[in-house]
Amino acid sequence: MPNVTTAAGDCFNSIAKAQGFFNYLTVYNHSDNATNFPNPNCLEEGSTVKVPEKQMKAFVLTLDAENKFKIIRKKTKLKVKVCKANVAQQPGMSKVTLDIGGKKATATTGVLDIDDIDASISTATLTVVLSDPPAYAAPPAPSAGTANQYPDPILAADFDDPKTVWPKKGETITWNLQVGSLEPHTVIRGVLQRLENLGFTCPVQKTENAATRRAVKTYRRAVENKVAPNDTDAVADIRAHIKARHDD
Amino acid sequence: MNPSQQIAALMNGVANQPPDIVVPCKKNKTHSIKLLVRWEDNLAPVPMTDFKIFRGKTQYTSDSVAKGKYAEKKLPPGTYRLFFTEIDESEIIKE
Repeated sequence: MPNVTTAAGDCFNSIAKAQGFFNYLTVYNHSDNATNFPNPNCLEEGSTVKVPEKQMKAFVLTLDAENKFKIIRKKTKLKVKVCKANVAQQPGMSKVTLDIGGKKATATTGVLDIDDIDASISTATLTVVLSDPPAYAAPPAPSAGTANQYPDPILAADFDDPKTVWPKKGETITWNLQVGSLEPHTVIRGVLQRLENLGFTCPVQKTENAATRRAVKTYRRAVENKVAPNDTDAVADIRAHIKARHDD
Repeated sequence: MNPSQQIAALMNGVANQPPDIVVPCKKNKTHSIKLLVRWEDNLAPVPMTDFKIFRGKTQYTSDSVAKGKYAEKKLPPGTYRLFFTEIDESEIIKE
């Protein structure tokens, strides 16, 4: 059986299915695959997965009776969590829908699960219908002594009216998800993908440049709260931190 | 080795053994076989999978299980061996 060079969207489930296996563990436990790929759902694009040769088995049949067999398979599951940029909170939403290959999951909270997806499908659609943002607190009533002395204080609600600014209630946001494309955090592309997912816009590439350093610096300032003039702003500086924030 | 070559290799081992003992049945001169193939996790029938059946060392039939079931009647006595040509040995068990 030929070895497989991984492409974007590949995981052990999709590789096993493409090679005619029902259980991804048959491929994952073959040779040194498990050592080379600690996370079977996180493969670096262009790496090599060793695929075993299928082994036949002979069953002696019992005549005049029913011969029962069970095929061991592992279903491919997809779980999506919708959260704010601070990860801990979820946005105000009235409905969120996940659609992959015609299978849908709907929820009002930020976590969606689909138990049995087609492993060969690598795109999904996530749609969030927003609810009303929280109302601002009413301004304090002016006391008699200060009434008409000064103009009313300017409050956030005056220029940031939840009824008029984005996001509005009922507004829909749609994302196209690349399922199975997340690479390990140990490679540059994996860290940059996680930066993108967390809202820090940057190019997803195999090398570092000014744009990636800018994204790393922004991440360090916004999330790690670190501003050091001598920082290299290299991807390696945030590797462990962003892995914990994004994956765990 | 492809599945056919593997089956041939396995059946070569059968050919080297003494001939399968055939005990004529007094009551039934012919027999039947039934196959039921299901998923292990939810016991739902497997939509379709190919197999080959050998009687002794000779291929008797090559067919498919449809909706988890296959049945055949009027089989002559003998030892029948079944191979699922699309399924790895680690992924199928006999109940």
